[in-house]
Amino acid sequence: MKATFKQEWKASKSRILYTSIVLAIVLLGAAITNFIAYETQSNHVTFFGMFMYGVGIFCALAVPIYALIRGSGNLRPLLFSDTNYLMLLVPEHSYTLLLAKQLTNLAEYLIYALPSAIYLSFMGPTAGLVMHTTVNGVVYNSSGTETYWESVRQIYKYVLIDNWTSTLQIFAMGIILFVVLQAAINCAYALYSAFIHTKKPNKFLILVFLFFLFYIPIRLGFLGIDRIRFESLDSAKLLWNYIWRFAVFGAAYFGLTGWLMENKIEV
Amino acid sequence: MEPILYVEGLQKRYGMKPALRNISLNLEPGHILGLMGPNGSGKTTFMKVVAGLQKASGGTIRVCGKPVGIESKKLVSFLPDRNIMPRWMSAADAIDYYHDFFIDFDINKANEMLNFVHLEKNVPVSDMSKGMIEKLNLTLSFSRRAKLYLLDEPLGGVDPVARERIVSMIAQTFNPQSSIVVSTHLVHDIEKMFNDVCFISEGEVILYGDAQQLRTERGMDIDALYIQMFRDRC
Repeated sequence: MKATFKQEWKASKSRILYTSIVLAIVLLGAAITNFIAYETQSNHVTFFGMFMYGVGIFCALAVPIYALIRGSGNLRPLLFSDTNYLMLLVPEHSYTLLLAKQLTNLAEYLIYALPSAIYLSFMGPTAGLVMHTTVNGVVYNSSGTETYWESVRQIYKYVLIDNWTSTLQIFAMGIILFVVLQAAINCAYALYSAFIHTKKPNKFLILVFLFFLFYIPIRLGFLGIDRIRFESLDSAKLLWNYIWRFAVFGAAYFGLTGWLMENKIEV
Repeated sequence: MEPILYVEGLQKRYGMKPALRNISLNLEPGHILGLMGPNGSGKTTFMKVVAGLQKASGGTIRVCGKPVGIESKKLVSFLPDRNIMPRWMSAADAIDYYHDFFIDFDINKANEMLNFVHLEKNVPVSDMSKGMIEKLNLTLSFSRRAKLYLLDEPLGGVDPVARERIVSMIAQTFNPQSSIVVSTHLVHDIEKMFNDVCFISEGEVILYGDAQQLRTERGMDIDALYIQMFRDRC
């Protein structure tokens, strides 16, 4: 397990480093541009800042999602390339390989997501340039009643002190959902590889498998998606009620993927 | 004494198509088996099944008494007929990888072998020639103190000088407590190493026996015998 994790990390670290640099440049660029716009109240800089806002928020959301879809435990090279021989010849159980790969991918996700959240916190106070509004008691405006740094401090106070239990729960839920999605994507790959023997994966068919991996539990009513009342979703207790059901399916998909690799998948 | 490799009635089908039919053979310690046959005869499939990359459809395989699985993978060193190292890896990274996963990997031997084949440690696979990759893969396979070495076309695609080096590398590093199965078309370059030979055609063993005995009985070397056996079949 330790060896697999180490080798996965070695294989991923360059990609993670370069992606993190791009993410930092875009988001810090957006934060600095908007800070200048905020301080100078310049229309030209504000316009550019708004554009940077769009780009920055897109990157902050898209890169971690890309990490999930592209990586998702890095199962693809294990099933569809010649390097799969290397991994499948080592005396390790498929479950160990899978777990190490998923943990590496989770670490990659966090390496993108956590700094993104920090960069976004520095963009938060200048959001008033784009939208003059109040969100959950935090006032975003450019009226000059609050300095930039006071606003940043207010965001951190709101997230880490006033609402730390909610933050922690949202963080935990985010990780669980990520791991469940990883397991489902890996399972879709494994099902494809086990039953449709092609050298190159057909992405459409993998998407079909993935669709059914979510459709089946939803149709069975197990996930309770159809009973969700969105007005009651502010209760963390209710959310956990759905999250653990997802987690059960994630564990089942993880088990199925490992079993397919041990018993059905050939390279 | 337990054979290193025991195969009895091995069958492998891809759907309805048979790839291996009722293959049986034994390999004793210290023996080198030449597995020969034309393209598509089932040599690679046989090796993949023994290495645990594919599942047998029937029959029995034991490596030092252990069925194919995690335990047998600890004993088998497989050299596939293609590059299996990721392009970003250098020889040093590959050695580190094998050292992490295989308890029998001898890091000093790997370094010595790299020197012997004049391979730089820090050149990434993406910058290596086919011959260099072949030497790297062979170095990694033979730096393990495995019981069974499976070499699938180890001489394919390398020039005669590199071929000669590879053959001498195999001869020098061979441990008499272990066994080797070598599949090849280039019979002439390697036949002197074989103790046993097995000719395979369409997934079936058509000739299996002691190499020296076959040479004496048939009055020809293995290369000539191979040509004679397969001339009409290909």
